[in-house]
Amino acid sequence: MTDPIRIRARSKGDLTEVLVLMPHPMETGLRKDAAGALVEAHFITDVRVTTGGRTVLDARMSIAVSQDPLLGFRFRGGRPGDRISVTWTDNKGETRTDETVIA
Amino acid sequence: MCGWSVMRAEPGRSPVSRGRRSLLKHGGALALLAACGLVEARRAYARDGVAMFDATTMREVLARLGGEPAADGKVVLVIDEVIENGGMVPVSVECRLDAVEEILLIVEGNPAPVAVRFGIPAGTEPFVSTRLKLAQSGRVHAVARANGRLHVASRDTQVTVGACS
Repeated sequence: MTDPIRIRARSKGDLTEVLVLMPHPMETGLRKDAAGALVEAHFITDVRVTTGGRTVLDARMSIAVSQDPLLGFRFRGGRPGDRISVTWTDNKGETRTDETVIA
Repeated sequence: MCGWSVMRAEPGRSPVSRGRRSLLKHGGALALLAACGLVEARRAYARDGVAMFDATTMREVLARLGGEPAADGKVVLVIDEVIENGGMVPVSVECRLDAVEEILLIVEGNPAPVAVRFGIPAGTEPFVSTRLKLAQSGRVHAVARANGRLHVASRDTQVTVGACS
């Protein structure tokens, strides 16, 4: 199982600044291992960030997003204490959801 | 046809670049191509934008976008010009536009140029930052769709060690 998603969400006036780090190998399927064999593709394809039942960001990713994808964005309407949840799904159908509270 | 600098290669850079430039010269044919692909691309795109990721050439990317992005300064793309490690390249995009629906990052030098698509719901600022892999030197584009119109910012990059090498 992969490591937990790290989420930092800070309220600044009306804006909430969010930084998300999703530990994931993001294997392209193009890389060879030490023995010269191709390493199977394994990468996050979809990410959804929600708070209070609404989506505040969704992302569709390819193999071109770096290992341990990082996402930064800002949205309006969040308040300190609100829960914010991040879910990713990868090309093998694995999924992970973590959440935090807006600071 | 070419407000979009995608098709504007620098002189004498590579055979690929020259190919793209000749594409520019035949802009009329390209416009026709884009128009033909438009309806189908829009239809496919309407589902969830997944079709974008199948594109392997800039021409396919353009057709799937379903329009011609304007390089009008409304999108700001921040990326280093000289990149030592292509495996982890910080990129951020900010748009001076209202009602941005989506932001795409497109890396010309990658086998599949469309790297990531962000859906921007109402209430979310038209700003995203992330880290991308760049296989080789080349142009990187940030495309934003707002009120049905496409806007783009482009930057050249020089990559010392590409991702996957």
